[in-house]
Order: sequence, then C-alpha cells, then structure tokens
Amino acid sequence: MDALSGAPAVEILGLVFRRRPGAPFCLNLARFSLAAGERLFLAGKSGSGKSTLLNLIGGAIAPERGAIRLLGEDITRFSSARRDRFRADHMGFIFQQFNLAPYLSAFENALLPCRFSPRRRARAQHPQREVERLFTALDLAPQCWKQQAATLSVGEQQRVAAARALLGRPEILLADEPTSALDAERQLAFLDTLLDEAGQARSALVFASHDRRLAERFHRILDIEHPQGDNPEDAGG
Amino acid sequence: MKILCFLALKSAWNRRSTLALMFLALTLSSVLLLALAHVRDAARTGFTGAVSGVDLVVGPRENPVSLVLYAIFHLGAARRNIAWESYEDIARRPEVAWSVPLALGDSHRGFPVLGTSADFFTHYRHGDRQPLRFAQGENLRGLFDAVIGAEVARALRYRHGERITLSHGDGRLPGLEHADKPFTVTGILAPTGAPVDRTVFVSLAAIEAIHLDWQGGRPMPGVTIPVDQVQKFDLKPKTLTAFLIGLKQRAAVFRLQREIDAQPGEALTAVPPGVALDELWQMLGAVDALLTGISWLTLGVCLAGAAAVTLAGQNERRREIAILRAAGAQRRHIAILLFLESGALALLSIASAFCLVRLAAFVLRAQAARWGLGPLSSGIPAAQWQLMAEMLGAMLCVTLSPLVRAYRQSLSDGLIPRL
Repeated sequence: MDALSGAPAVEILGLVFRRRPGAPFCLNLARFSLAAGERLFLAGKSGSGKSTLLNLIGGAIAPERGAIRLLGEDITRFSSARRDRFRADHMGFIFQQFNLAPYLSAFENALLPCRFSPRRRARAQHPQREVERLFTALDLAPQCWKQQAATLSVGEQQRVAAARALLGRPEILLADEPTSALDAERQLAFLDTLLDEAGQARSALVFASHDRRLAERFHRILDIEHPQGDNPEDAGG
Repeated sequence: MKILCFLALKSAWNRRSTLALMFLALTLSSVLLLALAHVRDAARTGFTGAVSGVDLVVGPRENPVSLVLYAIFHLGAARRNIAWESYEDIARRPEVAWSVPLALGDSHRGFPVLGTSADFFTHYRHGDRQPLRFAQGENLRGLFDAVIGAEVARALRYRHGERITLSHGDGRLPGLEHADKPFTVTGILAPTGAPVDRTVFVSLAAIEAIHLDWQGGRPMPGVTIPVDQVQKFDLKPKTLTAFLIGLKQRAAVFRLQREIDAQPGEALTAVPPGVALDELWQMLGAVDALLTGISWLTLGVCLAGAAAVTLAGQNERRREIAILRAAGAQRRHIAILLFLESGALALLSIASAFCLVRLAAFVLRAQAARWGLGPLSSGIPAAQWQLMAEMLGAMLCVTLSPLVRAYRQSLSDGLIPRL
C-alpha cells in the first residue's frame, strides 16, 4: 500500500447524489479532499445529508455522478464485492448507537474487523493485545471486556466501537455522531482519545456531528448545508 | 468460515427460544410427512413380502382384496367356506406344482389359528423368497401338535412342549373354548416379519377333531367325544377357507385364474396376490393422497408461522447485518451467515424427524407387524430421499425469503444502523 501513500486519503470530484432519480439534489459536492492524518468536522443539522456522505465514502451507496477516490482508487468503479473488501481493509466506522452485535462480548466485537480482513489482522500484528491496549487507552474497565455487548452502558459501547474502528490502523475513519449518545463530560474525553489514536495511526478522520462546540478540535470543517465552496472553511487546525 | 459459524451460533443462541419453537414445529410437521412415507413403504414391503412365493390364492367368490387380506393377513372375516372337493379338483391339475389348504376361524389368546398341511412349511416364502425356518422343534406330526410363530412365542413366553388350548372364533365370547382337547407346541418358527409370526399352526385334521362334538358354532349339548376316541372318526376335512397354489410355470397364472373363475360347480375366485395388492393400493390411493395433502398443509402452516416469526424479527436482523457490514463483513459473508442458520434449522428438523420416525417404527415394530407392515428397511428408500429433499427445499424457500428481504433492505440502508 506504499504506492498509495502519496494520494489523498479521500478525494471527491463532482459528486451528485439524489435519493430518487428526478428528486432535488440531496448532495452536490464539486471538489473535496482529505489527506492522511487529517481530521475533518462534517457539520450540518440532522437530515442535511451527513450520513449520506458517509455512506457514499463508505461505498455502501453509489452516487449519481462523480468520483470518490479513496487512497487514489475510484471506488465508484469497483464491483460491490470489491467495495466491501476495500471497506473491510481500509475503513473503520463509529455510529451514534447500535454499533455492536449484542450477542458478542466487548472483546469479540472489537476483534471483528481482524476476523474479516486479513490486511487489518496483519496491520494489527497482535490483534488481541492491540484490543487490550485500545480498551485500556479508552479507559474501558477490564471487567467489561468479556461482558456481552448488550449489557454494557451506552458510554462503554461507544468506547468498544471506537476500539473496533481503530483496530488495525485503517487509513480512513468515518464517525457519525459518535458522541451524541454520551453525556457532556464524557464527550470531550472520548473525543480526545479518539483523535489521539487516529493521529497515531495517521488515519484520515471524517467526523459528522450537529454539535459545533466540538469543531475546534478538528483541522477543517465542511458544512454540508453550504457545500458549494470548493475550499472548506479553515478551522485553524 | 470459522468466524461465520461462530457468529451464526452466537446469533442463533441469542434468539434460542424463538428458534427452538420453530425447530419443534418444523420437526413435528416433518414427522407427519415422513411417518406417512414410512408407513406407505413398510406396508408395501410387508404386504408384498407376505406372499412372495404364491402364484394364486383361491377362495369363495368374493372381492379379491378381501380374500387375500383374510387368507394371508387374517384381517377381516371369512363369509363362506369352500368344499374340500373343489380344492382337490384344482390341486390335481397338471400345471399345479404345489398347493396348501388353509382353514381359519379359531384363535388362541388373540392370535389366529391356521389349520393347514405340513406342506405349508415347505412351500411358503416370505420377504425376498425366504423359506420358513424352525427356531425350535419341528413340523406338525401328531394330531394335536401345534407350531407357533415367533411373535406368538415371544408375546406369550411359550417354549417347546407348552400345552395350549384353542378358542372358537376370535375368542371374545366366553365359554367357547376347545378346552377338552389341548395341543402341544412342537415347533417355533424363526421371526419373518410376515403374518406367520402371529399365527398358531395346527393340522387340518386337528381342526376337524376339535369340532367333532360341535354344531352351529357351539358345543353339542350332552355330547362329548374324548381325545382318545377322536381317531375313530373320519378326520378328513369337509370344508376349508382358501388355498394357495404354486405353479410349475408362472406364465400359466392368468389362464388358470380365468379357468377357475369360469368353471362350473362351486363359485370360486382365484387371485394372483400381486393383482389383489395393486387393487388394494388403488383403493388406498385416495386416502393416501388425502393424508399426504393434509401433512403438506401442516408443514405449510408451520412454515407460515416460521416466516411470520422471521418477519417480526426482521428489523433486528437488519440492524445486525448493518453492524456486521460496518465491521468488515462482505455481502457473501452475510449471505452465508443467513443461509447457515436457515439451512441448519431445516436440516436439523428433517434429520430429527427422520430419526424420530425410525425410532418409533423400531419401538412399535410388534404392533406394526400386526397390521401387515414390513420390518424397517436398512437403507432409506429413494422416495423418502426425494420427500426429504422436497421438504428441505420448501423450508429453505420460506425461511430464507424474509431474510433475503432483510439483506436487500440492509444493503440499501447503507452502513448506518437505524431503529
């Protein structure tokens, strides 16, 4: 993957997406790019299309027009199976809730990406030890590790989800309102650890949130409600 | 694949009560279908195997099916007897290789008594043309000798030398015992799976002897002929129930059948057993079709229930699929995961149902033999394989379709789980 290291982690060109053919534009993004290790705050009210953009970058849905280049490769040209593989190999996800398979333990949930992707397993080197390290860094009490995900508190679940997304240092991290289910004190601590770990792994992070108070910790902000500007506003990062 | 099995097991365990109920419902409805198929096969082998060496069954003029059912399987009741002379006329014909007379009517503790000649044991064939074998003792010799089938010996714990008495008729009326003329068990047959297992054999002369002082189905008042006196009487039988014929050349079967049916004198019916059994299957065909229909309907109801349960849990599955996809599971992983569960459920249900049916057939083998059902085959008949494949197909179609919908929806949902 060294050949790709020069290319931006995420590059979007002339992206158009509608929910249905003929419907008004849901998303219209002329140009946008994100380098390795960069953190982007994706701002916008709920329903503004933040999740849609994350789904497009994640390769779960296809745009009407435009290119989505990840690590130099246009995933809109991939077959769906190849997109699935690319996602497993290079991306980590954290959502607002329902991140975890309720019937697996915290530990098993965090290990999942390494089970599906040999590349992630290789990059994690010792997946089990890496999960332990991430859990510790995320301040998850050891007695939770073997507990079924369904019995964990929301805060604990979010931290397990973060560990899962970070495991095997994926090049791209996509987070959709990951802090919204947490209480205010927890939010900042969680965000700090997430940003810290993402920075160490040199992962490009797209962090979608309606809560602009968090934006100051990011390098850049993209306001999805006014995306016409070719250059996203600078948050002074 | 290892991780997929692990996830499938964990996920299934999480929904174990729902799945257990689905499994139970599917197993029980499969039992119905498989039991029916088993009975159908066992009846065929049982009935065909009980007359494997006989070319013609001859009896009084009546329905060929009832004649064979009564003469061979001792099911139903005889209406009329035939004259001994009619038997002798036909037995003397040149194309006849052997003949065995049969006289039914008495019983011993619920088991039918068959008066016949010693030839029965040389000519009768069961199953795949197997001859009869004596497990203990030997053929009928003395007047009051009896040979008993394996099931009679087992059920009544009789051994060689046991003294028994016969009842007149089916033995349900009190006081109609041939108690003054006891028999001695001189032979016990090895098990066959055919009706002979449940039969007590005595000579035709003995049947005559015990009825000497009887008239009109009851003892003659004031007349008793003691055992030591019976030899003084003519014990040649005057009537019999039916007789079996083996021909020198089987090709002559239908010609002889026509000649017996058409001959002047006593009105007789001659039936090749295979023809009578085919007729029996035709009669049972409509019932069989009805039962099969009902069984499939039951399976259908169960499957509809299973589909409803799966549909009700669909949102949860959708979320589960989204979670796994976000964690790196590819489409084919998800497809395999869903297929594993449905496939395992269907396969386990059918396999358990199959084992239950076989177990029941084994446990109830004595009762089954009483109804003319053959023993459990060692292999699985092709028709049952086909039935099980059809059941598997039906189960997979129905249990997979809601999951396919959940899968499709989860693909269009994207990766972000929703409520």
